[in-house]
Amino acid sequence: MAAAVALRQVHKRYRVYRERYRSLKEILMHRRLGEWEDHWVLRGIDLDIERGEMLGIIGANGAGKSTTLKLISRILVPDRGQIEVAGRVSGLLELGAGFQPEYTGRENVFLNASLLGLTRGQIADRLPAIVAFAELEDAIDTPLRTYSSGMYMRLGFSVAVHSSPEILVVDEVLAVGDEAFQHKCLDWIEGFRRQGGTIVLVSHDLGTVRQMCDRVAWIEGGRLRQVGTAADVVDAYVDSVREEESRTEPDAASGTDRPAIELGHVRLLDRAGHAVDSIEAGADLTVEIPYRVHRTVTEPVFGVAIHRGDGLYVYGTNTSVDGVGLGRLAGQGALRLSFPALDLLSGTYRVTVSILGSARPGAPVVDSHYQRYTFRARSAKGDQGLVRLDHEWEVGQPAKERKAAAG
Amino acid sequence: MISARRTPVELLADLGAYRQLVVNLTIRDLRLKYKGSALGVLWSLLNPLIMMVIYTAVFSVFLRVITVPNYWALVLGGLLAWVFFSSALSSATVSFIRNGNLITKVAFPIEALPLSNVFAHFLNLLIMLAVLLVVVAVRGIPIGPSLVLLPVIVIALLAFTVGLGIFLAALTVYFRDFEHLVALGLTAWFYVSPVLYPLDPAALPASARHYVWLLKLNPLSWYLEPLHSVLFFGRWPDPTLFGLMLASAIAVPIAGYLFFAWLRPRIPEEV
Repeated sequence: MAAAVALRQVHKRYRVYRERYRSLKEILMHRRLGEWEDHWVLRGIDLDIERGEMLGIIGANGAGKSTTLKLISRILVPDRGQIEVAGRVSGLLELGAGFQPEYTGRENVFLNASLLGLTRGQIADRLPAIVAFAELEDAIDTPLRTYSSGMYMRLGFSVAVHSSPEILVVDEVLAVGDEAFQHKCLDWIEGFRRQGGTIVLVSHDLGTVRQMCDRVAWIEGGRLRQVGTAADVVDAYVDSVREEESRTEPDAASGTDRPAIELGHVRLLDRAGHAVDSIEAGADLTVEIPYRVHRTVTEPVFGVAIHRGDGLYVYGTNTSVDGVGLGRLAGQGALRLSFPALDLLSGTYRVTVSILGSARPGAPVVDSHYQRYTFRARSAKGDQGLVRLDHEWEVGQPAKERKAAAG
Repeated sequence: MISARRTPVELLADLGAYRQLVVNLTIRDLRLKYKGSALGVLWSLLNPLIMMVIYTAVFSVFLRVITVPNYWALVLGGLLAWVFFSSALSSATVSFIRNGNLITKVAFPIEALPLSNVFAHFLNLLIMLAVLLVVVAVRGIPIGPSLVLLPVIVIALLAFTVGLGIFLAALTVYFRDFEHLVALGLTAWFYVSPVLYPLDPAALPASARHYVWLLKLNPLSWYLEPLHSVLFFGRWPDPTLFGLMLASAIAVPIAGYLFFAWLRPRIPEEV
């Protein structure tokens, strides 16, 4: 496969002004535009984006994701290094750029499409398709100011995708409008990729990135930290963010208003009672929840929830729904929740542990460690999805025919 | 392949591919200008007409310093050109800083913005010149064969304004003061340019005659003197001034564009 976009040692520098001299007097006085520091947002990115691939770019705010997008879409130019782009780039950085509220939808299509580089003939040819895709047949000749924000976005999206891009550069907005239209957007993207279209997506929505992208590039501090399959990189990124958060978390035990029952450091244990941070699918996992009672709570409820790294809620239960009466707890102790065969497939999972004041809905939270504990699951077998469902294969004749033969 | 800096030729080729954008932006500018006004284009004619009445009254009735027949027509011709030049330049100057959102979000030849500003005002000028020509013909003001130069003069003025406009648009991204400096500068420029008076020593008061050579150093004189000559006096323009006009109409756009191309890479970061 040929690279649709190739970044070679790309550096980008911004001037960060401590003070900006705007008036001529100041500029003449200081003989410069302002006091600035060079801030290197990108410090040598090497990345090949293959034709037909969907690549996600993730990273913390300020890591250089958007700058990378703007470089690929040629809004900015690199200060060092080179970018080779093979194909027509269209950016979904701003839907409906230059839209005029007083213009009708149709007039705005012409203006917006010419901003994306289309000629008048091309726009006229595509106008019916643009209007149909946006589902705005009835409103296309009314002024844009009468449009709802959903209609506005639909029109912007429709024009952008009809500008015959070969490489689509997307900042967050992959799907717009109501749910039905979002499906349409996603269908379009699927079709676009089947035809060999390349997509570069920057998003904070790690779930979407993990699900939709083939590969993910993780940018940290202007450098490429990791490139690889979406699952690997997103999970590694989530792990790193977790770790960072747990390091910076203030010590919960300090301070006077301690919770009535305080959670200790929860451990994830294997069958032998050793703390683990990764398990094989189907293995045994025990969540050990130490607690210390400071004040009496009549009917405390302990709960455990598991989320996948991308935020998908996998499972949650508590002592009340499972009919475990705790009675009055006193002093300190530990609860253990065992999963004899945790059939979670490959991925990163986060464990939440919390204590509620009672089983009633809306009961106060006594203490909670929200998604604080992480483990990874691996499936050596290579089956895919979220959980391994109990199953069995059988080789034989189709069920119907056997029945017919019997009758 | 994207090199760190695109050459002016590459930028121009890009602009050529985006012709339709320039057309659409010009239409947008014209529509914004006449938005919601029933009289539309008439308003832009009314402005120089009222100014003409005022200036004609002041200088040929009350002050009586300029002694040419049909002075009102000279004033009107000069004003039309001046109104085009000054308003096109003012809007081109702020065209980058007012469209920061577009420039930072979409990759397109941004010089289309000042260009379309100037074109919108230019279309205005053409309409008003047509009206003026009818009036001049009806009132029997002598126009001669030199009128064939009118299109040349008008297009030269357009080129000069485009060059200066692109230059100022790029400069204003870095020096925001230029937004106000240009407004101030234009006020001063108005009086040292032959808008309200001809550059003809014979028509000027004795005290002014010594300064005509100085006024001829003003680039706008190179455009306005030929304009007055063909439109009002019905004679051939001064060859030196006409030559300077042609030379500057080629040099200024090239210089302006090169200056813009030099600043182009960082404009989306600074705007």
